[in-house]
Amino acid sequence: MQATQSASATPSTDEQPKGLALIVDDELSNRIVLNALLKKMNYTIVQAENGAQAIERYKETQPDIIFMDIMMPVMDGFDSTVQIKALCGNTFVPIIFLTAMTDEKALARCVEVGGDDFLTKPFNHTVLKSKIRAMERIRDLHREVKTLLDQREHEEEIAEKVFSGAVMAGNVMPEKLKALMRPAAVFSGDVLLTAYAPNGDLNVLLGDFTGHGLSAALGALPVSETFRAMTIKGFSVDQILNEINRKLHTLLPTGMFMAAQFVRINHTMDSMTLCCCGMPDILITNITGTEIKHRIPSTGLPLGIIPDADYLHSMSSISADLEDRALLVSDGVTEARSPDGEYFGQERLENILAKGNGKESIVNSIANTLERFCLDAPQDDDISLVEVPFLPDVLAVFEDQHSSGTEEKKGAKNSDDSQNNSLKFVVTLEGPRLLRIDPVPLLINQIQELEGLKEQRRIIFTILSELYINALDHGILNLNSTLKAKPGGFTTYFTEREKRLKELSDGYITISIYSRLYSSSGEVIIQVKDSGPGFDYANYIANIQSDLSTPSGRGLLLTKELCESLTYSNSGNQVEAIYTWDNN
Amino acid sequence: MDSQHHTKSHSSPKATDPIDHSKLNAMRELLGDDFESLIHAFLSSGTSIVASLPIAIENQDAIEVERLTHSLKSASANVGATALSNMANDAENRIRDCGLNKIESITSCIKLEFEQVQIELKKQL
Repeated sequence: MQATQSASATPSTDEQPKGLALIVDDELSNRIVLNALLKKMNYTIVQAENGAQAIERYKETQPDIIFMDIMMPVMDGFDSTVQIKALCGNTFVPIIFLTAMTDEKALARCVEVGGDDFLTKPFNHTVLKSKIRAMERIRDLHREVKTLLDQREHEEEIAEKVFSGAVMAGNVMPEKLKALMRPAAVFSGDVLLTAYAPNGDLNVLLGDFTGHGLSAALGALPVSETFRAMTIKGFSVDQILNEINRKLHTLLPTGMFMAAQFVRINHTMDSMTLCCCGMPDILITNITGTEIKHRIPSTGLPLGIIPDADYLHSMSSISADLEDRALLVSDGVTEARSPDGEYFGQERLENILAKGNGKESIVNSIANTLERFCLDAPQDDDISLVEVPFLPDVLAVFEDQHSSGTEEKKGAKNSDDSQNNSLKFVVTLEGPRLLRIDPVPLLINQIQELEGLKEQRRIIFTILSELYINALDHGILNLNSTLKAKPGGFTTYFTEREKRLKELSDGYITISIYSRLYSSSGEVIIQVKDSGPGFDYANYIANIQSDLSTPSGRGLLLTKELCESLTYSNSGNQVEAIYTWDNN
Repeated sequence: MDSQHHTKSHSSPKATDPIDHSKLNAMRELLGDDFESLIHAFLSSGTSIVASLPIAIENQDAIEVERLTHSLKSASANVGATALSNMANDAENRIRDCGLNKIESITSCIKLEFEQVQIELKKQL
């Protein structure tokens, strides 16, 4: 392969066959002279007497170089050149005009119609030879570039397949989540990532890297790995963003970064958590899109710019109604251009939303309008649109593995089990540390490392998160869940929570985990104790059982159902959950 | 190298040899066996051009006259008929600048010059 390419590097000698030359001239004596000169240079020759004949000869013989007279009967050299160049397509076939003309306009026209050089009559051997040599050099370069381009395109296609396999194939794609990704090049600088947290939460990240094409797409690989690993382990949105930011800052060169939109649909179906970092506003709409309920503006820096960005304070939590939509849109949409160069723009986008009739998904109606707008205008940037519905359907469906029924419990099930072993560890977090650290994923991963839990991990995660959040929010921070029930309550609640967390100077939470595992069954006891005043738990549990419509307490009730027992003690600042399973 | 001189001397062609023999010999060397076909090709197209010129002028077809003189210009240069080529060039320029007005004064010179060239070339066969 290299050998044929390098032939062009060695100076061509007259002894080598040069290929086929087409001479187009109505004057026979001219053709005879040029024929002789080219024969001397080892060309094989075909001839044509006018422009129309030249086109026929071109089609029949596919010459390597063409010598074209200008003034000819039937069809002149200009028209003939235009048509032949069109037939050449991507192949470079040099056309050298034969001219006795001194008229500058005519000479300029030769180049305009696609001619590559002139040769003035009467022909001169030395001049002709140099011109041909120059043309051959250009032609070889042209061929080399074309081979390289073809090769690159081919390699890009393969790489893209491998790449999107690695990045996108790991995504969970709930049926009701609609996405449109239209890259500007083979590689997309936009990346859509989705994954389930152990408690069933759906995490969706739409990232937009600076630039597009291969260099922009490369960063998607580490981002997807971090996003997926941390989501699966149950880390919070801000922790995931912090880690992605750290990783990108290390990996990406200066000037390259990733803007992102992040949505988490919480499994409790009472809220979504959102974060926008350098992207257009995330829009929260009703099902048809006609009502924009919230705009989540960019509050965080794009990822990868500074080493230690903290996204904790860039988070928004909002309550949502069933069937609401979170719309993630990359700037490739608003900055898409029509053939006249006009931008699509935010206004046009929101007009489509306003006209929504629910007959088709929001993503589809935007995509259709966009297509009619852009027509065949070149696409400058990657276009991505994602519609995340606020529906239980998009959450993870886990098989119910916990053995809620205790009737089947075998009396002496574990007495003779050789794998009987147990493990206990206690963690205490104090004061300001509670702001910085979410111990739940760390603890769960610790248990998993030590105990090799599989299916049980999700449930233990859910129980532990719920108990820990309760201890922190209500025990330490003394927040009242009824706040959430009021209009705009979620925002108030989370703003207040963040404020109190920052002011926190003392207090502690102790988590004790005691696990006992057998070959196919086991038991985990989780105790959470906080330094708070406690609460009237007997009364509280009785109340939530009678009124399930309030979001407060719903999580606790769910937890109670997952556990074999859930017991509050002391003043209500200590709780013990026992979770057992038996795979037999 | 001496084209400037010839351009100005077209009105008195008899003073010089109608053929630049160094050019013609260079062409003979280049073409080898094809040299004779070049001479034949030139004589045939030259004869046809010289015969067509008065008809095209009669028809007031400036485009055709221009095309004919243009062809003669490059064809005669190929056989070293430098004076003839220069005359054809003058005729072509004149038509481009002021149409067919008084073109006969040049074309009749062309006819005479071609006859001289013809005689000289036939000697080469």
